[in-house]
Amino acid sequence: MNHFLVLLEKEAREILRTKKLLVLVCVFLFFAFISPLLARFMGEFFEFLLPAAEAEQFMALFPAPTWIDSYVQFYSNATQMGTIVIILLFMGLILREKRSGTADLVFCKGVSPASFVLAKFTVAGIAALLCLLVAILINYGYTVFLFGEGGALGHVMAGAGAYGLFVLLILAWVILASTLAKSTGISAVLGFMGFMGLLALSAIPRLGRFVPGGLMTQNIPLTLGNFYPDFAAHLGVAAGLTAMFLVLAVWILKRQEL
Amino acid sequence: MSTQLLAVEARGLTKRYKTALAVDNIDIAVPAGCCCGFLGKNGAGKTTTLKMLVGLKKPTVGSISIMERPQLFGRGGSFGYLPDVPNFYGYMNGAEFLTFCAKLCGIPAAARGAKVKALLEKVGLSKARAAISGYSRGMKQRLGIAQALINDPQVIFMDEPVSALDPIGRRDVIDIIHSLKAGGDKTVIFSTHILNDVEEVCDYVLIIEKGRIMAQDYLADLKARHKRDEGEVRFHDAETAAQFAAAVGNAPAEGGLLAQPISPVAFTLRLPGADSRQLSRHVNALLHAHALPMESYAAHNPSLEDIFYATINNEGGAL
Ligand SMILES: Nc1ncnc2c1ncn2[C@@H]1O[C@H](COP(=O)(O)OP(=O)(O)OP(=O)(O)O)[C@@H](O)[C@H]1O
Ligand SMILES: [Mg+2]
Repeated sequence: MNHFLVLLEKEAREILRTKKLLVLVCVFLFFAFISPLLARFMGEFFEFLLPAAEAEQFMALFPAPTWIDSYVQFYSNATQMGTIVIILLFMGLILREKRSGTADLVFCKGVSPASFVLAKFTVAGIAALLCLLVAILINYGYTVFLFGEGGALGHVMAGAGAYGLFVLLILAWVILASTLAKSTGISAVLGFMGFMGLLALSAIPRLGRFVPGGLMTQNIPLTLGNFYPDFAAHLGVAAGLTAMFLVLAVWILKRQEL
Repeated sequence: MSTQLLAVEARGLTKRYKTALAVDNIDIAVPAGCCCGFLGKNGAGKTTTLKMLVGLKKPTVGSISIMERPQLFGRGGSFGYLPDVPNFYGYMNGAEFLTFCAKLCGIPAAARGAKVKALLEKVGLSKARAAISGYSRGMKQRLGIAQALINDPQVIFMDEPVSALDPIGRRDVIDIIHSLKAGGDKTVIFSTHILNDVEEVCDYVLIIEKGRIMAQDYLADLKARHKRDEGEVRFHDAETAAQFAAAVGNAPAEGGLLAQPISPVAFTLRLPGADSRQLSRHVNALLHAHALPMESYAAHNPSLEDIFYATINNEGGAL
């Protein structure tokens, strides 16, 4: 337990000093500021870019933007780009320490692989969730400012919370990939394959029930207060898979020669 | 013989890689309180052995104990370990990394600051304020030694502690090892290619060749065993040397003294059946009888280098 706390402190310092937190904050704040703007002024952009006649035709195809569009923009950015950034930032989490030999020094001092892995997951998870929380609150405020309404805050948080749980699942997967992989390239490929695989599997009709892809595709219904049918199942499966990936990473790390 | 406390003991230790048998069924017993030099050519198996001893590599077969307690793969311990190529978190500075290690070792907050400061001083890094990413190889080596000593370990393993160091740094490290020895209770095991350092600071030697332990003993005992009763006499000039050669050659009655020239002014001397004391008395008498002035006479003690070559060529097989 004491080792875990010392490692937490070290991971926190690492994420700050290596500027990973900065990147994460910037990316999510960017989504938070740009999404409501894009939603609100998309029409005007086209008007500005296209000749008047074509613009009018174009505008006729789209109904006037509403506050919901601001969340549509946010989630299409955050769940795609955001997840990719998270994979890229954390895919070396275990691998880099194994390869550089820093893990040797730490393990020689009697640190257990469990503390090692869990400290990394905890700090990366808290950082990602905080960024997401701040981003969604800004997105909400900005939406209220631009559209006059931003939805029920509780539902907005439910939509973001679902994605937050998905992020934790991806983090656990990335940590497992980083434990298994012998090179950064492999770790990256595994990380992305997990992400894509999850989405692909959740699109298969029957199987989709048990694959928690909905946590990153159904954020809009959730934001509107519609808890889709498999939501509870997805929450459970995501939590279970997250724990399983972490346990597996610890199990492998224990048996691995660095 | 009393049963001696063993700091490090390994039995039947073997490490087989897919392509190589790196360590081949070795037994190691290093008595507590020793300073042990671990010698062997490149690729002989030193790093592999040390990594198994500290639990970083899993032995294919074999058991290990440190201070008579079993050491298992994947478990750390209270020993100190300096890896062959130490690496650290580049975003920390030396003091921060040592503080991190001190916390992991459970050193109480009150003692940490002083401990870290003293160690940085000891390894000559007290002025290095920069992040470790800007350290030179030698500086990393020094920090590696400091972290190995952070919890005053009873047993310290070091893999080539002087390999990246300048002559002054090497001196510093040997002095640190001297100071560890001074207490008399600590055991230091380090691998190196610098035989002089071993001769200076070690009292115990392990020699490994192709994954097998070829010699393992107190240095003094090894030397005694490799001792040949030879001496070396040296003259001021070639003329005197020639007179000496003539004197030896003209006196077969001199008990069969053999003089092998090693330079125009020096000879290796041997007297069959005599020990080094008898040899020196004999040579002295001969020089006196012929009134030959010599520059120096020295009983021939085998150097560690002689022992090293003799040992690895002995059963090591052809290359
Ligand atoms: N990961 C590995 N996979 C396969 N073979 C290995 C591995 N590590 C070491 N070896 C082999 O094991 C043998 C012993 O290597 P080791 O690193 O222990 O030697 P060493 O005595 O430390 O050499 P040096 O003086 O160069 O440091 C070598 O033949 C090496 O090729
Ligand atoms: Mg080596």
